[in-house]
Amino acid sequence: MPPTSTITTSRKRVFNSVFSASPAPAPFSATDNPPLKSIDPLVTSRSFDDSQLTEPDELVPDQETWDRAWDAATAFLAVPDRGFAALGPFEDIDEEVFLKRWNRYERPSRKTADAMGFLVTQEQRGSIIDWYGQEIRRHFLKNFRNGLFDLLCHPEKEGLLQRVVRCLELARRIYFTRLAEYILPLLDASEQERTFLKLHRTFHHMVAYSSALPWDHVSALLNREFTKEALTILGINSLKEEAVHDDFSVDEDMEVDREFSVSYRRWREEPSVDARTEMMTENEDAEVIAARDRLLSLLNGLQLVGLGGDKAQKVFAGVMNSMMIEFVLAAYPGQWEGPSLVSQHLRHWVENVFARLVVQVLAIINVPESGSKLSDHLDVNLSDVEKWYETGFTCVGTLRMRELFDVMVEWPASSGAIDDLRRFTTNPATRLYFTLSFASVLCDRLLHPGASTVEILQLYISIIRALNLLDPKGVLLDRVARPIRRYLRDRDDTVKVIVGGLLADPDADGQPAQSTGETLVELSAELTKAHQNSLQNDGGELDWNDMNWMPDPVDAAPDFRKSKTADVIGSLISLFDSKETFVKEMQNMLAERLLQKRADYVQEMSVLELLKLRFGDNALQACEVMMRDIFDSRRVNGVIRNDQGLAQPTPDEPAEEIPDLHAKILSHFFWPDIQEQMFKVPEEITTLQQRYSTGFESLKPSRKLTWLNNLGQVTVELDLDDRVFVDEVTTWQAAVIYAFQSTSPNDTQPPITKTLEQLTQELQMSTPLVRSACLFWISKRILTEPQRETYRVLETLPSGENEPGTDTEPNTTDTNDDTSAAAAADAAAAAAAKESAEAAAMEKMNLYWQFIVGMLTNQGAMPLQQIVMMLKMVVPGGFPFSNEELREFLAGMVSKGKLEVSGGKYKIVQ
Amino acid sequence: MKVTFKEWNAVATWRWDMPDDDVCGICRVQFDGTCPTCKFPGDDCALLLGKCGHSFHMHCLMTWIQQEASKGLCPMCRQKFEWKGNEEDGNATQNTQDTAQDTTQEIQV
Repeated sequence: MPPTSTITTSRKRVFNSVFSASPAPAPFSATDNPPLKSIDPLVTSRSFDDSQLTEPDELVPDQETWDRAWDAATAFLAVPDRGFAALGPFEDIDEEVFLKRWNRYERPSRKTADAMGFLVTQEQRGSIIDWYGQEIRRHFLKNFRNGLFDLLCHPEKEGLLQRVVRCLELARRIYFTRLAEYILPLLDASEQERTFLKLHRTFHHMVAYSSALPWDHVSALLNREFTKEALTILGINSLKEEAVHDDFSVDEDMEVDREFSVSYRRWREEPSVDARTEMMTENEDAEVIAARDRLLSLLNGLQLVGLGGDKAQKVFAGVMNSMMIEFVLAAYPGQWEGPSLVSQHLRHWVENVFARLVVQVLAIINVPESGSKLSDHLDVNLSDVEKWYETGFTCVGTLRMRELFDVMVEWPASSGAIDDLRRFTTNPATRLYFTLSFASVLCDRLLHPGASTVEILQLYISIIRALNLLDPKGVLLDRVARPIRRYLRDRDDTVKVIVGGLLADPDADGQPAQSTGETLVELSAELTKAHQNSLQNDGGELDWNDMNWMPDPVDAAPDFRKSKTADVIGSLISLFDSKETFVKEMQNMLAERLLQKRADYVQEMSVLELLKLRFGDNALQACEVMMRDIFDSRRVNGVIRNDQGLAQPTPDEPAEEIPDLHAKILSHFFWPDIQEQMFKVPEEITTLQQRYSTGFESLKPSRKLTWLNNLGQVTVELDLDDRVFVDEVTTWQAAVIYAFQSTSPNDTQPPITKTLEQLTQELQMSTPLVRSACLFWISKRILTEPQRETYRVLETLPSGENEPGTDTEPNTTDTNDDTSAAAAADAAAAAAAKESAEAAAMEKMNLYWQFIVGMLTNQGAMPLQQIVMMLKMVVPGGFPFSNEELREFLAGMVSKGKLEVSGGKYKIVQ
Repeated sequence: MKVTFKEWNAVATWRWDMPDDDVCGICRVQFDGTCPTCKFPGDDCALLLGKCGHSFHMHCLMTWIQQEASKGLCPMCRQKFEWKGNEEDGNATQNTQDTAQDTTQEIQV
């Protein structure tokens, strides 16, 4: 050391004795290596002698020696302030150049080495280590802090964390190279480790707690990295891809055997248990392996620079939690086939894939402060795996809950989903969640005017069956079904659909009946099936000898009672408090079907018998009478036809063929009200009907017949010029076409033409009905409508393009839209039926007219609302009309001059 | 065009040859319905027409006639109840009525 340094040192000593508390480091020299010396009170009072430097064994070195050694060592150890930018561009350069740049490459001169050796072995040797710690901190804060912060805020997040970690690793290298190379070997083993850890911790704290790397930034990046790699490693990405290329996967299965996959579907298809295990544990994709390597090396780096540890574990835990959800959402939606293997598959995945990643990651970042972990330390216990599995399965349950509505729609193809749910709904909380969420989904998706009653009932049946599997006690069903039942009660056509379903013909082939959009055919199948077991388990609650009795579950509603839950028919029938509505609808439906022309009524018979078991004989008596009427009239029909000689053409009039007249004779008291639309039937038929009536009266004395001409079927044969048309039609259609019959056998006469008005008068038939019938015949191409409301017989069919467009102008389109004509005929028929129904309703309304007159006479003028209210109170059996209907009716009365309106109140005209 | 009806399946209702809306004086059910003990109308639950102009379900009236207090009288007009009908029917019913009266007399004795 040159002599000048001694002078400098003494100057410094003087200086320091004055400004001992000054934080400013003393300028040492103008050399290239400006070391910075922190103020150590111990140092200031020492001296350092150059000559004594060679005698490090001296026990009490004087101040001079100390100072010299100190200066030499700190000058060697100090890190040059080159700023963050110097770190960046040298990421990829040669190690030697890099270390040189940071004054870390050249070996210490002997003197410096001796100085360090001297300092370290002194009693206060901690001080050089402390100094170095502070030097690291100072340097880091001054040079790297802002640079790192800027880097962290870089908008491009891809690979950013890796870069940050790389920088930190380099910084660490800078700080620890000389420490590890030259200081630590001077210490004994235990000291080495202690010192290293101490400095290491200093570095970690600096990285973690300095404002350079705010944790929320880092955790966001870390989260991003974890998520990205875990999605690949856990196979979730491949699942999603598979979902996109759904069609290909099946073929590929054939070629690539035992491909690594976490797909539930492929797993299911795998025949053996071993193969299934191998699927997840072997033959990992290169992509997965690469992702795993990337993640683990990143984690190693993080852990090294102090960004791992507890905080990283927290982020990791969060990510893995969401991965579990992601996986369930990717793997299991729509996988509803029964029997469900979801729970096995999930367990498999958790054990082999999920837990594997967790173990690998924790092995890196779950290192205690002491540095190394015990050899028998387990990061993951079996109970942890079990918990993960449970968490995962809860996710499956939640998923299935979300899908439940569609599961029900798919029922019974979706029994696997119900299996999953059964494992899920095992405690009151999940059961409550189940009922609440399902009920709200039902309200949103099913119980609204857009869904047809058939759909609702269909789904209700599915729900009954599915929930009965899910919860044989029936509590869940009870809770879920309530809103449905309430809603169904409000629907007008519920009864109609149910009864229609009950009476529908089951498939002839004995195939399981498929319900169409219109009718619930499966109800009739269900009826025959269900009645046997429904009779057995009646009154189960009161069976005091039942040794297996269990109380109702805790979440059962107070008025819960064990119903015959599986009994679909019973559930549907019990929708309505009274049997009357049901029976009445049954009567209507039965009447309609019995009046059809059919060979037998076996289906109706059996349904009636089965329903009698449920409703009792009395309730369905009217139906029984109806059945009996039909069977009786078949017998009577034969007898009368024999007696009156209607069976064969009578010998005295062999030339003329008379129609076969068959009749169904009803006990009108027991049949639903039948709308009468009277009209004149053809003369020929009237005569026959009279003969028939005579026959009946002689057979059954003191009884008479009333013919209901609008009911029944007629087989007509129309003999046209170029064709013969045979079909079965309704009586009124027959009557209308009969009116077009040629009066003379002369073929040359022009086709008969009649107007709507003529027909109405001639047949005494209501106009809509006539129009409907005419439209029907137009659709059959028997009539044409050359002018509006004028109909003419189409004796010869127009032959395609030869048809003259002049006289059949409105008919030019009729060649190609028979169907539209048929639809028009249907519409007209519906209109006619509606009209007659309205007429009937008005007739009923006349009944209430008496009430209204009485009310208005006694109590003076009343507004509409009050009239309705009064009627609802006083009319026995309730007032069946709406406000609008009543208003219409009253308006009619006003126009007839029977009422007057003043100030919104109706008043009797005096 | 010639229209031929091959087959005409008609529907008719039957009713007793009585004024409409008339009810049995005993059970107050319309004649076209059944008496309370019957299930099927018509042949199973016939009517009886009295010469006094009152008619009843046969089962209703038989129950009445067989009671001692009836004394074979029409429950409506308290005249002696006699069947209206053709000859054989009349005889037959007369006989039943006689036997009914016999039994009541016996009981009175």
